Amino acid sequence: MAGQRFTVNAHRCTWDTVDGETMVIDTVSGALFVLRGLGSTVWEALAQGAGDGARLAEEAASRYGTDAAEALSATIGTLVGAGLLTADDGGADVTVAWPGSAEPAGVTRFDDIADILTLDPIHDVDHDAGWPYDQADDHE
Amino acid sequence: MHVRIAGLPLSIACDAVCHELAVHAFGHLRGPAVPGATPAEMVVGEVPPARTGSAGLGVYRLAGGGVCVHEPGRLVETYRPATGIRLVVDAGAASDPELVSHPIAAAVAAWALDAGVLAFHAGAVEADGRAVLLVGANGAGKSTAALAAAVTGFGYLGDDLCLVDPAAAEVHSWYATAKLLPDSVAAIGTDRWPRLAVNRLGKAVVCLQHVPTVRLVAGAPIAAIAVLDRRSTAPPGRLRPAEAVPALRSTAVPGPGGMGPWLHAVVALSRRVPVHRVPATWDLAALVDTLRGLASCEATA
Repeated sequence: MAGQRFTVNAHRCTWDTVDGETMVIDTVSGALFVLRGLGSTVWEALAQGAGDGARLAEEAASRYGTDAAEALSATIGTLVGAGLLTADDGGADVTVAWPGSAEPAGVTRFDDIADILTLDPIHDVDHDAGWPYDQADDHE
Repeated sequence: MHVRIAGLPLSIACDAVCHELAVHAFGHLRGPAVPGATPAEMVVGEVPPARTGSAGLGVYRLAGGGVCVHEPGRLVETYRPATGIRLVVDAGAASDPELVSHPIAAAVAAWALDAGVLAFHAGAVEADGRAVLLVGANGAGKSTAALAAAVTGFGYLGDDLCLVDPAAAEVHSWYATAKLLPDSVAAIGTDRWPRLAVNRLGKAVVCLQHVPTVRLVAGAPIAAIAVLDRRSTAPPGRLRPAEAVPALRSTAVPGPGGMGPWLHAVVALSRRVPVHRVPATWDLAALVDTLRGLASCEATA
């Protein structure tokens, strides 16, 4: 992750923050991710631009200690692995609104919403050319 | 037949078979004809079988907006913003318990979403004009809780599917039907209620319009949300908003809008409405007392 810059993969997910925790839905896998503490703080910053993962961890270490930095690195790694953060080499670093004190970063993944989507898939189809409308329309 | 679902006018034209379906499902929401109401048509007809190379069974999002459900050989259900709702069901599938209990569900969900109203996999009951949303995965006890409350004086809004307006924090009745497993039928004492069908899980589908002791309610502001938990033996407890959103994930219903509208809806509700974890006990009197207490919760602005 050293030297790599990341940003939120906004094409892939939708999110909202409540009570200091950020809920992210991966629209590809259908999973729900709940980001806590500094994970939520850094996500909100990366939603505005790009940041160097290693530098973010270093800054977290200087402010909150090495445990906080390791937790943040692990959370960023999880989000990169899930495709929710994506590499971004352009532009200036975002400014993170670091809080005075912070809960360590954490992420919990829930896959049972993904199960709902998998059970009942939704597909984009061409109304004029695609199944099932050419046959269904025969009845109208 | 003219109805208002979540306050939205729908004008349903049916053949004789589908008229019965529509009356059982939506009869409690009947109202006067409204100019500009969305048209809906429900008819028995020939439904194309699966075609080689097709995706077959599924929910399809239309490129021009709207949605289509196709169960090959059984039904085709569409909602198109320009033309409304249409159901064609094979004669042999018209008595299917799932269709009998929840006809045109995907189409109505897509139609309501266009007005900012979301389909929720949840039940709901009402006391003194205030609703409690009943949330839980399949088997958590939503139907049992809803019917146990309804037979003791609560208004009934739904046992499995409701429509929620997150901006107004209101829940609206969708179907007048309920589905109950035999153990719930025995516990609540509904064995004499007329059954429309029995599904493959042994759940009896009943139409509550035929039950004089049940009061059907069209809609109410949500006073509280009860997350039913069969495993919990702890006393009811309020969840923080950030805890509430994951706890409400069973309310998600697949739809043409994707998961974004659902996420923003549950976040909005969790900010405004208290969400409580409630043990789903077979002590139904205690459960109903808990729901009555939750109905008196004060929502925050």
